[in-house]
Amino acid sequence: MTVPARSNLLAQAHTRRRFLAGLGLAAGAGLLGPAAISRASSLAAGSSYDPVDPAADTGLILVSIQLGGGMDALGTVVPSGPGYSALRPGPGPEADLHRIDSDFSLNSMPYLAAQFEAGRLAVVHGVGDPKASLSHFDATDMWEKGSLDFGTTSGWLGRSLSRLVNDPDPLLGVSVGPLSPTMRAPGWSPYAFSDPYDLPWTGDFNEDAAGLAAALSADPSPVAGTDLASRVRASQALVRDVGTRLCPVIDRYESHGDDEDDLEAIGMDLGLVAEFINAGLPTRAFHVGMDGFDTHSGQDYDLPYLLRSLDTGIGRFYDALGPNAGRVVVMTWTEFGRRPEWNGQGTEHGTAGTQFVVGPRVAGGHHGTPSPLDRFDDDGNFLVTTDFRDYLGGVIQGTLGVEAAAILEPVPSPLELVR
Amino acid sequence: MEVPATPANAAHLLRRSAWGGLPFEIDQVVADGIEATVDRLLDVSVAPVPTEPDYGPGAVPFEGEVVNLWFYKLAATSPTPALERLMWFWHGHFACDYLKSEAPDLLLRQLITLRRHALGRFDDLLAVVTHDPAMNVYLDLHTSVVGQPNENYARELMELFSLGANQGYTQADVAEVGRCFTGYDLVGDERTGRPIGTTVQPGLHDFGDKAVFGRHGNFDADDVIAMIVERPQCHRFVAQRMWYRYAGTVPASDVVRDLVQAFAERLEIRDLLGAMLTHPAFYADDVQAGLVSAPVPTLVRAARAFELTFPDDVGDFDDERATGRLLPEFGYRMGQVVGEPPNVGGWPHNDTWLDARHATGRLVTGRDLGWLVVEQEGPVAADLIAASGSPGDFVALVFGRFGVVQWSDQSADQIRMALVADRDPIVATAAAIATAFVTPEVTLT
Repeated sequence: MTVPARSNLLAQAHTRRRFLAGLGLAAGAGLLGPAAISRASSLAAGSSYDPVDPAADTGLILVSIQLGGGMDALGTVVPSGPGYSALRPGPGPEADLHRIDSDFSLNSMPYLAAQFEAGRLAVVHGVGDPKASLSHFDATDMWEKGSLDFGTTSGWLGRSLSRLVNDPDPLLGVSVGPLSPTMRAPGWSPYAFSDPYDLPWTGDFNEDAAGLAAALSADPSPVAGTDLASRVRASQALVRDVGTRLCPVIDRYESHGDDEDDLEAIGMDLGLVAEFINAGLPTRAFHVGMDGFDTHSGQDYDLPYLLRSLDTGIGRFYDALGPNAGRVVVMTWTEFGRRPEWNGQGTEHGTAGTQFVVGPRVAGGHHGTPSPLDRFDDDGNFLVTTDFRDYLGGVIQGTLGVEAAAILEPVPSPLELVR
Repeated sequence: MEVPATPANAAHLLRRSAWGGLPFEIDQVVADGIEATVDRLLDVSVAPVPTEPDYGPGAVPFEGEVVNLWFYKLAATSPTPALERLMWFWHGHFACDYLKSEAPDLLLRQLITLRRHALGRFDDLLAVVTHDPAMNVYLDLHTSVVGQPNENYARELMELFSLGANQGYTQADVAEVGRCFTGYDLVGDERTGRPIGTTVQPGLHDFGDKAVFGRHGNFDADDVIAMIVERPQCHRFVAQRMWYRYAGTVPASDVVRDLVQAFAERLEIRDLLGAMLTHPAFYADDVQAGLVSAPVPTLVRAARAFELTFPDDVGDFDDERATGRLLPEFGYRMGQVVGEPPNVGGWPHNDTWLDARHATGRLVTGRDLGWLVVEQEGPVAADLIAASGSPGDFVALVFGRFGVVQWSDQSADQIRMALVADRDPIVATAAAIATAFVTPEVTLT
């Protein structure tokens, strides 16, 4: 039906939305204090890291990208044929479709389309759980835990990483932004950070905050208590212990951070991940988040924009990795797909979603069965054809070499996603 | 029986219901008692009417940073801190951002609306939030029309704002409530052209029969709100959420029962908050043992502790004597920006703030806060610098300013260590303030 005319207030909101947080707030560092004008002068001095020789280490590195809000499967991997046309008016004027085979096109993702062609992109269809919630929060919780048991407190990545070695290094798993619940594991505090210009115990921090550094460094090794006060101290000790090891990352970032100005937040975050990998840190899994996929309205404009940002970010990321690219696998996950029918402006919360796995070692092609376009569940949603644990299990086993059955219940039948 | 007004209880009340308290304010609570203090805190007859920045004609009058400075100035200087603290609670509860709308002015007005209704009836609050233009855009109400209803607001209204996930409603109810909320449109101000309200356009609204919670009728938004607030799930949910954010724990069933009893009949938020702040369980060990303070309340506490100053015009970030101008930047670095919740669920809670990302934010902010305070003109900095030669006095002085009445030997030792790390008393004082800021005593509330 035609949407009746309405007022034009806030029209600019639909021309181009900003996805970067921190409107008008400058990337801050050393606002005050004696070293503010001479930052970067002492970078990397005395760093104590031990670079890993990429050639000597065959362990794959996993980059998990959370597509928050619930990415529309049908609008992203667009089916050819009348089944799709019966449900949707089309991907909209902003979409730029890249045909990958006789059945599907990718919306506004030229890099991923080329990777599909080259056999390095797995498109995983119909992923979810029939009992999953339509709530963002419950569905996200399920994905983060890799379980429908809400009593679980750990995440699927945290459980996997903490099985790799005894007493895991905090840098074994890194979240860009707040700690992802996917990384949680009993007895392990993985690293998380936001801004490479703003890390204590790097650069000018020791000069600007010598007294603070002295006071905290003199703290006897924090008691591994579970009370909050002990955990406050432990969190600061974690940052202190990791800080100096990150100097090479910041050094690299500063050397060519400026040419990433045209990237959206996801591209910049992936650029940081590349710096971590290229600096030879021992990280085996990264979490990166991207929001905005909750396209109840404005989907015609927003979804192509989001997918283009994601696609560009992943492409630039692999370029930046250079010789390390062969070690890195990128996977996406979104809490649910969206409903089959169009609401006039976008789509509502649904069930089965489409996920991507990309990289030189990925078993490219279609995995799982696409949900039928003419047969739905009791709520009118797409049928789940791939258990989300089979998807996660395939990623865990293929990249980290941890047996999926040790991480996920009930015992999954992991997809063969990595060669 | 009334909760005894010990210094510890008094400080706890001020830290949780307001933004902490200076020593004389804690003494006042000890003298007056808990119940009289709660009555005073919730008496908003002296509350100032917040001033809005001048919008003028133009597309987007100001950026999010201005909303943040406006918020910090009001929260740090108002004589009714419990009211602004409650406004902050509602901002997290009815989480909404200015990024999707690109309209920080609408978000600022929404905060004023939340403050105006903060202590009133919950059904009124639900109604003004529903009709609010910033919320309308954030949850897509203004694009939802008859025949093509949008479920976004309907779902979050029940799941996050009023009933709780799966508390007595179904997916079918979500779809039907979506129909009840169709037809919203924004109303603009004639002078500035900016949206100032909403209206329901009859041609866009679904006037058909709908089935909500098993009842049938030609329901609209107000009908749905009326049906929601009479449900016991709603009373329990609001009481639980308020307890969870203020007390930090999951409330015991008898506590929920007491709170619901105070709230359910009249739906007055003042009654609910008053019952919570005077409840003996609010002062129990598990509650006092700690709640990790989110960045924004931590920064307002610091602003009050060190009497940071603000520019007359909250759009002015260039006045270097206005030390509070840096609070928006500090909030950004600590990971919490007013008007930028991570999603409609609001901000995370308690120990989520203890991860490495937020520990990093606290440390770099503590460093800069220390320098900011010692460079500030006036007696606060002078007194601290003067005390830096006597570490014992300094520890009591700095913790006193943060509203801390009991502290650990370990934290006191660390502050002393920072004081002796440099011979220059100004440098030493900056380091000791930074160290105090990151102690568990100040990180927890």
